[in-house]
Amino acid sequence: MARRFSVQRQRGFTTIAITCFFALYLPIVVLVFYAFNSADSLSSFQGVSLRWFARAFENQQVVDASLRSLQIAAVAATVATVAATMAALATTRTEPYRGLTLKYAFINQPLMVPEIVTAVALLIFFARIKIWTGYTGLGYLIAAHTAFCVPFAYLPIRARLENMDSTLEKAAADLYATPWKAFRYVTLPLLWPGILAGFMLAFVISLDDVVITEFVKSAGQDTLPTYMLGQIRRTITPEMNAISALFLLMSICVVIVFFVVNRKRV
Amino acid sequence: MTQPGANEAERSRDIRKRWLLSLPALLIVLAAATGPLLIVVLYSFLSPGPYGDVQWQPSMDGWIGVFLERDMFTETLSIADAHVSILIRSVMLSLVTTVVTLLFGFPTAYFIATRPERTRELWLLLITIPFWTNLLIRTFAVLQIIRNDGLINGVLMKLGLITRPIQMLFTDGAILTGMVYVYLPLMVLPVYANLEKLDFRLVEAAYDLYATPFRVLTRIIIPLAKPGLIAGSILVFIPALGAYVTPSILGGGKNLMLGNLIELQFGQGRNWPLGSALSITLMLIVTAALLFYVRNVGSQGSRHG
Amino acid sequence: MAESNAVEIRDVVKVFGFGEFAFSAVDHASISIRKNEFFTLLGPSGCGKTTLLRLIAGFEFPTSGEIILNGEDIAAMPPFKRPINTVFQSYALFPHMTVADNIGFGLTMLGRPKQEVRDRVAAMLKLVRMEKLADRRTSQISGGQQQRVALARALAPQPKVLLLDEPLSALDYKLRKDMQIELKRLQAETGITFIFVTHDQEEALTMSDRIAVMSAGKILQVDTPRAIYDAPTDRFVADFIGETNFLRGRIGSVSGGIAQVETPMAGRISATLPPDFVPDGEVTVVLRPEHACLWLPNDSAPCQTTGTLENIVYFGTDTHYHVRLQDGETQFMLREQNKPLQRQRFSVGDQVGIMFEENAARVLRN
Repeated sequence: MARRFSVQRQRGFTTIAITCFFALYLPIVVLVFYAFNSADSLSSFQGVSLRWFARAFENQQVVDASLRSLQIAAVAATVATVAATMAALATTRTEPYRGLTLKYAFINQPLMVPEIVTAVALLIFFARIKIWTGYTGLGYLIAAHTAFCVPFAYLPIRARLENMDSTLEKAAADLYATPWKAFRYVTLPLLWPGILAGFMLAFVISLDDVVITEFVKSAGQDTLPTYMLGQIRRTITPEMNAISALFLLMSICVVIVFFVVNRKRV
Repeated sequence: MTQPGANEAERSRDIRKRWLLSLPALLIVLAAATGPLLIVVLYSFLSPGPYGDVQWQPSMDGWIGVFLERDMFTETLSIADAHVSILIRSVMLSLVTTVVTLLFGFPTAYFIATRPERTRELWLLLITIPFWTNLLIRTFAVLQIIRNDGLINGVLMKLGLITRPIQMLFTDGAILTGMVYVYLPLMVLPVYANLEKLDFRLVEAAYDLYATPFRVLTRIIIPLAKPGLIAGSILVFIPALGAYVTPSILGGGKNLMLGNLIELQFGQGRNWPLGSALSITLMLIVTAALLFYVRNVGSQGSRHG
Repeated sequence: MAESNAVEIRDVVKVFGFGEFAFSAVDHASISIRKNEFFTLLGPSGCGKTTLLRLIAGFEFPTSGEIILNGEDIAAMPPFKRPINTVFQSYALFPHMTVADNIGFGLTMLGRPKQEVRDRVAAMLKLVRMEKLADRRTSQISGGQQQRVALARALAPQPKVLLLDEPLSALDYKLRKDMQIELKRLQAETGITFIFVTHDQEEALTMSDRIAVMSAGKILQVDTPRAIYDAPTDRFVADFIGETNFLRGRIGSVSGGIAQVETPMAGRISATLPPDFVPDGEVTVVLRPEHACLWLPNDSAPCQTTGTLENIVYFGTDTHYHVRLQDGETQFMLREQNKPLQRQRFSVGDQVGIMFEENAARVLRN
């Protein structure tokens, strides 16, 4: 018997969707599964073991790269979030003024350009500065990460601000709050979920970056993703799966926190 | 306050404050993103240095090199087959990736949008997790599935359908599969955001007026979801065109895309002006795509509704 | 007999949800809607009237029961195969199409030739007096105009039955009055059966040929507006439509469809019984406020009962009197039409007599 008519039903859509979800998760599940492989290679699964996780933790290069990744992401995301919050306050809830569109374009510019182009541009630019100043530290990576994190931090904060009622601040002002106090006690608490979401988005984007880091880093400045890229191009052992699995776990935790923070409505 | 002059002074003070507030973000982006791009434009008109970098001599060779090549012995110019074919392949692969993600992503987004309120969040989370997961790891995951001793070949051999593994890795098909895989969430999310707002009473009205399910899809749902479909296509097309990680892992260094070709000029090729010119070419294609988007969606956004 | 019916609803049940959360939106409803009739489903929100409409349209399917159209059970037929069109409460005009494209949509979907569609759209635009706005986007016209387009769009394919789901609720008062007249005109001109859903009793009374009053998924009474108002058979119907006095009492004697009811507050009342109703013990008698009149005790008229006048409310066209009856508990309301320069005959605190009009009191089923 033909299925009953339903207003929302489109033939085959559910099948395609389920296929997509299956296809999205199958490689990830296989990847994680093989992280627990006790064998020396990925060719066969010989039993459950945590040896590759242990190996990853003993690998000084992995530990160094992970710490470097976290350090860069923490600094870049913090600076980007502060700058983005200020920019969001400056570009929302106002009559259009001269230069507003220009600001939007500037702040979102890193989103509009393919990463490889930004990477090449920074390579050229920083190569010059390295020659001029002789400085070869992490500052370049942090600066680069901060720049491409700004639009990601900006978007959720701006979205939150735009949905906020500006009469609230006027009410605070009416109740004798100075502009700073109105910001501190009214705007900021309401904006907080947006700022948190922006920070987390920036943090994850920085942590995930491969291309720009690959071009900007000096020798010995591998982050976890560029270290992994280098390894994947050579021989692959289940150690890579173990690192990937841990990375995945962290991403999933951040997504869930982001989801919860962003879904809550005031 | 009632005087227009006082109001104006206040407004200009407000605007000055707003500029000051946005200054840090603008400076950061200018210093570490937009400014360097202008240097790329400059470099594309200089001569290559012997060990990379550039010599401060104006030259069009970088730009000529995008499409033409100079024969080493006869000094004659001919079409640079390698570059042009990579350019064409990059555009084709990105377009096919966009179309395939559209064909899979639209029904998936529709599926999520039509779930009951309670389970919809869960499906959305399931699509958001890959979106936030490292692209490198996801490419690595695809690599493990399609390797010669990976899951697909393993299963096919177990079933006795093949006796020797099929070479899937390091082909255009591998790059395409990988790009569809990593960019699918980028298509689903904006399309979903659009379909979520779809007024199903319009769908009911179309059914009431004798439209079959297929006609409802083509005449009502797709036209109304068009802004989301275009946004998703742009969001997939732009990174696909500039893709570097996915083709370099799954293409194995033989099947290059534009991103790898650019990288080559700054690595082994040591031809920074050519690399710069190729980067600007890539950016121009992307700008064209963005302009197309603004033309088609931007104008609808400002329409009264 | 069946031939004169446009739609027949036979014992239709619609249950939403499962198990302990199951809820009957429509509960064993049966109605016969006649051809060329302006039929109204009236009831408060949540009474199941919109669900019933959606079952007829084909957006929902009954859990059990039959919906007969042209002698055929269409209960399982998808909406795009039913010769029934709907005017939606939200209008549901397609925002990506012009007014003309909206009106022509149904005919285009039916595969009619382009020329026929064009002619029919022109005729429809003329019918709803919107000729000048054919090429406008639907977002560029006013609410009243959108309403007309929604009507024209639903009428264009010449359906057997037109369903209207509270189509006037979004309009302001004056426009609503105009559209009520307009709808009656369109129904008369097209000869199409209209099934109209509303929660507005005044709208139902002024427009309908017949009304079905619904509550909690059940159809309580189906009758002409006059009969629904003057002779409600059900307590809910009497209460929902207009204002009413309810008087409880015991059945004394019954003869010829008239019962003598003994009440503590108003003595013996003779009240008409609903058809096919066998009363038993306690019953409720209902009487509209305008079906009684007030007398001063010295007017020496044959009063039904007496009481104390507690409140007088002036309404312009008429005046309401609230009387505390002799049992000291029941408040009885009367309405009298005001006449020009009438002197006020009563004042609060007066002892008054109340006279019931003949054949006005009725016994309810419950």
